[in-house]
Amino acid sequence: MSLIQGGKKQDPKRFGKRIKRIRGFDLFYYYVDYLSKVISERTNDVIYFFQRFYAGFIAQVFAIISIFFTPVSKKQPIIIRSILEVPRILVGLLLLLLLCLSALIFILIGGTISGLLGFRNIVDYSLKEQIAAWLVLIIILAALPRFMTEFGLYRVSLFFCFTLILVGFNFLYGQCGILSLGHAGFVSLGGFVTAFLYTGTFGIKFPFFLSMIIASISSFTFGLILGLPSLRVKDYYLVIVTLGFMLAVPQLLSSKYLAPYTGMSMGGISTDSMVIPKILSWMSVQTWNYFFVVGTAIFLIVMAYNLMHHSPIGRAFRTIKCDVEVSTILGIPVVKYKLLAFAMSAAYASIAGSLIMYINRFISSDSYNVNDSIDYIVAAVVGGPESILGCVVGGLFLTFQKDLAAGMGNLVLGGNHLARMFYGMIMILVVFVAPRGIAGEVSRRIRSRFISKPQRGKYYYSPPPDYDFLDMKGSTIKEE
Amino acid sequence: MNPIYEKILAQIISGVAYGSIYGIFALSIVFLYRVNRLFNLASTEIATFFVICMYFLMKHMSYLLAFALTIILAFIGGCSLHFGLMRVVTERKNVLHSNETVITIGVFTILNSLSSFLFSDEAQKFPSPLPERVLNFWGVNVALNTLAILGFAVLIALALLFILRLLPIGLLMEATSENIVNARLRGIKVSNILALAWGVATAISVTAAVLIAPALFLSPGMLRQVFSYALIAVAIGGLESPFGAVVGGVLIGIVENLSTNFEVFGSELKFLAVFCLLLVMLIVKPRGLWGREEHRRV
Repeated sequence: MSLIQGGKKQDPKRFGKRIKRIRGFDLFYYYVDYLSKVISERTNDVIYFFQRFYAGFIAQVFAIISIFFTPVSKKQPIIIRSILEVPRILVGLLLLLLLCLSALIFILIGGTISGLLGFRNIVDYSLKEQIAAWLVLIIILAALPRFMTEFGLYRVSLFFCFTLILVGFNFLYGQCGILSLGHAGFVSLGGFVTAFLYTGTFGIKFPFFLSMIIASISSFTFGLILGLPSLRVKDYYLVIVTLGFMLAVPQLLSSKYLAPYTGMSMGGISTDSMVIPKILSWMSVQTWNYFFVVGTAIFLIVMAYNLMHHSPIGRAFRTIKCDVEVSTILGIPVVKYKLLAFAMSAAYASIAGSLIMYINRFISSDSYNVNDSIDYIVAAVVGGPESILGCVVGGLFLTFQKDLAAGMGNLVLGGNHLARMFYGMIMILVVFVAPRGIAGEVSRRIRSRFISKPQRGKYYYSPPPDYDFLDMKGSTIKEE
Repeated sequence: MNPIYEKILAQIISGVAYGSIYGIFALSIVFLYRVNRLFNLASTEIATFFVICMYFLMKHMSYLLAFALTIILAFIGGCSLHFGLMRVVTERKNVLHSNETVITIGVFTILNSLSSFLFSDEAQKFPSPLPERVLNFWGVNVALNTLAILGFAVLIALALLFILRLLPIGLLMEATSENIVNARLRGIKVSNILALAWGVATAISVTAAVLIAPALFLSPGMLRQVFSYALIAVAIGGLESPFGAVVGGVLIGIVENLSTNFEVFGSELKFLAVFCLLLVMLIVKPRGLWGREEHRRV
């Protein structure tokens, strides 16, 4: 019996049926079969590969347990054999019961949570595989505070914030193909609004979570206001408007009219840490901050994934990226969807900005400038603008970028400028060599190694590489 | 004349001069877009790089010679930028359309950090080509440099219009921008035309940077503010009209100068005033002053 149906999405109900067929002693062969399938099955993605690897690991543990209770030799008389086999049968039954119970618990609890959060369709994998992958992630993230220093935790939370910014940027650049030079402006706007509400600049002190949500809503509105005049004309106008916004926000906040209210006359706003809930009061402040930031970021990233790859909205985005005219003919309201993408990315950037403000506990009008916006673009292009994995690579790039520049600066005089120059060169190289970024290229290579036919089934979720397939300009003519 | 009106008039004239500098940068962007269908974000950084080159050249030779050499270098640099980098993207279209802009952002980053690496961080004084004389028109004092900048901007706009409308090469450029494949089938050497556009656009922006450098003090980030103003001028004037770019730049210059010197917003909020102008323009006339609607056959 083959366990893994190649290419088909597995019904969670099958899980129960499958278990009923297991007889106590077949576990070993069963899992050997499983392992061989795991290794020989086509793998879709790097994540997919590791998920399978984890499932194989569990299988190995069970296999070792079942080897421990191998059957005795058949030479003995049948009565003794039957007596000797009783404990093995009991153990087998126990294992079966455990498996059933764990499956039930998984399906009940995991299914409820995942159904609520939309985890169910995060990838076209079976529920068990998803839960295994999430368990690995959660265990690693939960264990990190035990092994890492305070600064390391700060780094990890910063990494998640940067990934969140890039995921937001994905809506705009990766999905719709529109550029924005003002993303750092939205990051700083989110940080500022959160800081105002949280520190009670305008009289009322809001809890942090609420102020973060209000900030994201205000950024969403700002995105609509800026996008409405510019996106209905041409995408280039959005670059101009967002650049203007990027430069206008810090000037407005540090001007003499607003400075007394916003605290910018003192150089910046510093906030204090949030109050830890009473149930979790055994945590240190750093650990709580880390869990709060990482949890929020992961929740939003999963939402973004579902929106981008498993919803009609994401499909509309990608159609617009391929061809605007064709999507108009197909009945997609182009300007509306572009506006939605821009406003969504603004809201994401603002949430990331408030999280960064929270872990830094400080924000000033000099915190973000145009260079930061350009860095986000560089990171998105280098990592891969179309996938979450690309955002993760880009987030790593952003996290370590300033350290790399500082290291270069220590080595050579003016080395930090040289480092920035290399970033630009790397970006241009990536655009030419791997238009889908490092992550896209790596996953394409892995996929082409394991799959004979490249575009098979629903695993292929990115648009095909020739974007201009509807356009005459796509055809190439060589010069003599 | 009432002294307040006199002051306002003087501010407007100096605003027109600064605005025409933004207009020239906008012109170079618009010209490149007209010919190449490419939105060049790197134009000001290329200009800064070449002005810094000119600063180093001037240590060894006279002003005029260094200027001429820089312009030639800029022209060659622009052409080689097309042949080395942009050709692959603009002529083949085998990568995503918005990636062209991304590549110009990459050029922006590279040249900005290269000029920061070459040039010490302290701002240097840059010599002016014209003597510091002040002319008097109807009781308003105008610097000679200001007039020269304005004259140069108008001259370049007229020259570009002349090239695009009346010369045969303008027709070739129009054809290339319309459809590259068809132009090539008609026997137009598309690569050379696009490279020429790059060279001319670069030379224009470098000239503008040389003209404005005495007022701004030479430093790697000297054209950052001008960069945003030039882009806003492009949006106000329309993405395809050279004359509109100059008018947009002049409008921006006037608004900026008036809001700096009269306490309407306060001098800190001069950029906000310009930004509001942009938003109002986009709401009232979304395609710019002289923009035209684009149609494409599917």
